[in-house]
Amino acid sequence: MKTKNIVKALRDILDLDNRKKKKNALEKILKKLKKNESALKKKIGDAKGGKQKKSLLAQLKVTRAQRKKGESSLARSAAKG
Amino acid sequence: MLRRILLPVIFVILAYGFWVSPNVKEIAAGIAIFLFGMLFLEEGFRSFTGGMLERLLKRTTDRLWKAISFGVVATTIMQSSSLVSVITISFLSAGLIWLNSGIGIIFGANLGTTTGAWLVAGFGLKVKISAYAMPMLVFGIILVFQKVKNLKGIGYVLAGLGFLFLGIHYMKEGFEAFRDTIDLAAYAMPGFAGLIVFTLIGMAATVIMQSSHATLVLIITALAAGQITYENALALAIGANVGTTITAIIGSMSSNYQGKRLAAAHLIFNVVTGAIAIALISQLVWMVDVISARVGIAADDYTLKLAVFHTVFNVIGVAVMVPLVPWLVTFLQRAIPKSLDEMTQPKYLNESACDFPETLLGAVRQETLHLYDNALEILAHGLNLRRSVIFSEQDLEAHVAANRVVIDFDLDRVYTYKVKSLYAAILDFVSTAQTQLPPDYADVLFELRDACHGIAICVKDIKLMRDNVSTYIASDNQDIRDQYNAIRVELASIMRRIHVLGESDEEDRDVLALDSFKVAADEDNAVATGAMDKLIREGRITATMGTSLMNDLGYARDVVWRLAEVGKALFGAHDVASKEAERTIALTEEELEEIRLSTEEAA
Repeated sequence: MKTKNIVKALRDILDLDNRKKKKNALEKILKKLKKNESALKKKIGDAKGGKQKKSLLAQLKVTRAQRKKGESSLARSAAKG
Repeated sequence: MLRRILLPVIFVILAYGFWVSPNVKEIAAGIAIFLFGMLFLEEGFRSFTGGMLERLLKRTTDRLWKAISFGVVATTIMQSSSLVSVITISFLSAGLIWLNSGIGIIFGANLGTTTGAWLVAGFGLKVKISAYAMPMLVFGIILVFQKVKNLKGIGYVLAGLGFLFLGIHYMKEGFEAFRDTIDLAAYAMPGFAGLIVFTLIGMAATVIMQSSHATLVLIITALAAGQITYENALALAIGANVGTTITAIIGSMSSNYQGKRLAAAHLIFNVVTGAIAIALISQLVWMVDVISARVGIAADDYTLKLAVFHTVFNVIGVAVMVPLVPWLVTFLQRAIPKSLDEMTQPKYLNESACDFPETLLGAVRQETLHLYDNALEILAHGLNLRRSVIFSEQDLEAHVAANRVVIDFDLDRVYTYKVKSLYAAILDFVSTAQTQLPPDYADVLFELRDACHGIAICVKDIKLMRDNVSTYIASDNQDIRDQYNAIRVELASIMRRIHVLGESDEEDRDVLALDSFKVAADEDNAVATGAMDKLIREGRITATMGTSLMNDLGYARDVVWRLAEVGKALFGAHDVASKEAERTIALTEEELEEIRLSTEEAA
């Protein structure tokens, strides 16, 4: 193994704690986003005015996009090990 | 001025002492090593601060009894009430705790400091303490050189304790040798005069050493060596208790009014406790004798009896002062009021806030919030809206449609006095503070600095919009009025959302939802929907009105985007890992644009 790889492996080991913390924080936010998404869907179902529904749909789209982004980031970090 | 004179005077006295007697050197070196150990201990505890510190403080100091217990535990661990007082001042100045909690911690610190007397009296003078000091120093220093932060912290704590023990050892040796040359007992005074004089000596010694613990060690070692009488030692302990407030007073000099209030509370507590001890000295001595006899302390074991005395009079002090805390808070609020120009001066930025990364960021966050609160007056009034309406649950669309009154206020004056000066102070503070922060924390600091910049730009945008807003909301042209009212609703909505975020519990805050305001600002405006072109084409608004509207929609968009970032910086996660996770998930401008385009296509 090249010295560069050894240094990288060591750095990864030392960075493990930080990565775990970040992973936990990411999972926590994703959980919150999922909850928000369900709440928004329910609100959209109950919405009376078209304007309100439109605004809620926009919020839902943003929440979904954020969740998707978070999930792919989580998957990427899991793949890295 | 006093500090400038004090240092040379101390140097001259010490030099004279070293010249006269080599034993003075040993005692002074012992004190120096002891204080050096305290510095190491402080450094060690600093390594363990972070996001955990703030959470711990919130949970452990929300009730008076919890705050007292916190003070006891913290001082017992750190073995320095002065250190705990100074840290508490920095917490209070940073707005992390309330005055009541701060007072509780100070009371607790006075109780906690008595454990030092027990440690030295019961342990320090009976065991060859240097035997413990050496291994602690060796292990501690090895750990100090480690790169892992926690190991380094443990190293500092161990080395700190090692130096403390070594300092005690040298002081003890010094006093024992000193005994043969000068008999301090010759200076011992009987009666009330002796009590007062030795109280003053105790105060002076603590003021010079800035540590009641070090004074107490000095008293106990002198007592054990027979240099002073038991009565004199009691008076010295009373004096040390009063003198210890000097560190807090010095610490509060650079802090805001809250820090000064706490230092005053500390002084009042210790003076009252000292006065009670002096007034009831005979009863206290009797009480100490009874307690000592009960717990099996020999009648002539004055060092342990001194520890009992120290504990008893501090317990009495806390018992007397606890019921008076509400009165004390009211008194301090009256005696040390907020200065009149508090709104334009930084409330939370001071040197004591720089003690820890967490307090520093807490102070900058609070100050940014202060800046935002001040700017909100301009943002709301600039749109001819009252803050009370924005903060309420009123239907904003209905409100703006019904209210066409222009709020008369001097925007430039408010900007200069309430925003510009504060923004400059924050910028100044941040530029100095950034050098003291580790990279992870520095990112958060820069985010707050950018938020301040965003707030200032928002104010300028609103200033540019104000004339048109005021003109068109009073216009008879319903169409242009509707367009400007839509802008007012849009901006008031995001301000309301940020206010709700501020009112919510930290756990429930959803700052990422602010991104949807950005999409709405791009999606729903009259230019994007083509409504403006249609209005001009149909002659319902003039081209001049259209130009104004187009410019103002641009400013409004800028305000929404910037306020969303301000909201994230102010009310986002406080710990570094969660903050980074929020940043990862937050959508970029391109991603938000994709959402907008997909909505457009779907429509």
